[in-house]
Amino acid sequence: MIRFFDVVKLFPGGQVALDGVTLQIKPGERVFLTGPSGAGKTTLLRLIYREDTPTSGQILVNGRNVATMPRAKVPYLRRSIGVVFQSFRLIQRKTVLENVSYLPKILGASLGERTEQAREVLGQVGLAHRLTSYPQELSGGEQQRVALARALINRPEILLADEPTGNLDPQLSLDILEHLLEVQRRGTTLLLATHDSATIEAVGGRVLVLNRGRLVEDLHLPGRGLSMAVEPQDYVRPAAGGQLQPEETR
Amino acid sequence: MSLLQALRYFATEAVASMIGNWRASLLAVVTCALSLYVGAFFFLLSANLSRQTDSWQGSLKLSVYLDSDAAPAAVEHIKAALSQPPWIEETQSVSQAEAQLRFDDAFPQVAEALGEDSRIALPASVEGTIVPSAIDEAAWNEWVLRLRALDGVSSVDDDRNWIREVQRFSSWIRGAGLALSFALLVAAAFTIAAVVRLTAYQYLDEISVLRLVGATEFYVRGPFVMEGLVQGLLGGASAIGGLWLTFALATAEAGSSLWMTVVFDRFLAVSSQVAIVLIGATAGLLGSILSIRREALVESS
Repeated sequence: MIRFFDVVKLFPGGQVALDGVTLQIKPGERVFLTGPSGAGKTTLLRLIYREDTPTSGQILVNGRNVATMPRAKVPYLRRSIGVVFQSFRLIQRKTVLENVSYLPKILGASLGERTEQAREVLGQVGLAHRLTSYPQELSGGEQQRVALARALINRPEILLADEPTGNLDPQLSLDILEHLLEVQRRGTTLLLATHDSATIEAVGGRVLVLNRGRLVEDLHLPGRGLSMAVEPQDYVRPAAGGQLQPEETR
Repeated sequence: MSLLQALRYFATEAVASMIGNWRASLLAVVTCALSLYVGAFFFLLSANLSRQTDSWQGSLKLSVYLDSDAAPAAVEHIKAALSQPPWIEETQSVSQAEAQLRFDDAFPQVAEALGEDSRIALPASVEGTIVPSAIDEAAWNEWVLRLRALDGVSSVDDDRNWIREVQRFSSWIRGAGLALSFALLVAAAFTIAAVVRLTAYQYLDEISVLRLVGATEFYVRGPFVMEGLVQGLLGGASAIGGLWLTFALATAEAGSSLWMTVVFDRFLAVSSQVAIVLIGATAGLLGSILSIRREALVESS
């Protein structure tokens, strides 16, 4: 459960990032957070996992007041929240296994246990065979799936995704979205920030619209089916001709 | 994660980081080693001098040199005066001939250089073995004044005076070594701090990921603290190694030099060696803790 009570966030200099946001997200719910650039989507997510603190107002995450939480307690909050970023934020000098198993490692899991956990969670995103690869050896979609696996390895109650498909082509975006939705279907609360209205309309669900830091709409969309998120113009014709194929990107 | 697992994790990460930044790490270790070497070297000299002066304390003498024309009765009176107080254990007369023999024994090369003809006649004396624990300084000083005033006394020489000089010199060496070593150690701690901070900056992306997935500050900073600690330990151990090498060379070269034999009599005790390594470790630890305050490990982006 995530609850915001009249949350205001001002940046140094007085710029308003969030302006009196009040909302409630139930456990297991799928919520899209949308709005133009600078609307406050990322700030809202950062407040949930206490990367930032609100200027005023209260934020409850699973009953804990995140706004007033002592700094020492923040790591324990974060262990129940998975976060996925547009930029993946993988460590290039670490293997997929090492990237994914950071948390088990600091929780004291042996190498065998870590490998087992990583293999399982990477299996969920179809990358169990890339355990020893380095991020730079993977495509963008694969890197985002590794980032998703890292977010999921501790079975979080909440999954936050900040423009997770922003760096990916439509077909790879679809793939990542499918994985995110699968996680949500298994009971994890999913809060996905995106400005891609096509994706939101295709998937459907609860949509929170932010504009200039204000929550201007809270609505439910029925969804047209995930395949509709990939528009025909997103496909390219191969040089040799033949069938239309999704664009390959690294 | 148990403490032991955590320490193993910190050590693994620290060693990997040091290997990755071996040049900077080497600089930190060498700076630390140099500062500790200087301090340890002075300490070695001072410890050996102190040990030597302590050993001399048991055979301290008060020598009353006699006038060349001192009458036998005056000499007897001097002997009686010398053996009277509790701080003199036994007395012994030293004739001119015996004094000459002692000189020849102690300084054979000088004696040879002087030859039979150029020799200066050494005075006869009466010696008393001092019992330092029995001395009352005020009474002693008064007594020595009285001795000097006796008939037939040319001069009175107290061994404790030059022992005090040696002790003063030893204390000066120790003090200078401590001051110099402290200054260098501060520099070493700052070098280690700079190296650890540099490493931390290189790992900011990893630090942010660690925090993101829920690592406590203990685990975020632990490897960096361990890195400083290891650098300090290595610095301390290198200082001891370097000092041992110096000691071995010096003792091999010492030959018949009294000074070299005294100051390089023995190597540092194991407890002192351990203390020096621990001082290095502490400097490294403090340097690294200073360098990775939370504010220093926040990504600017």
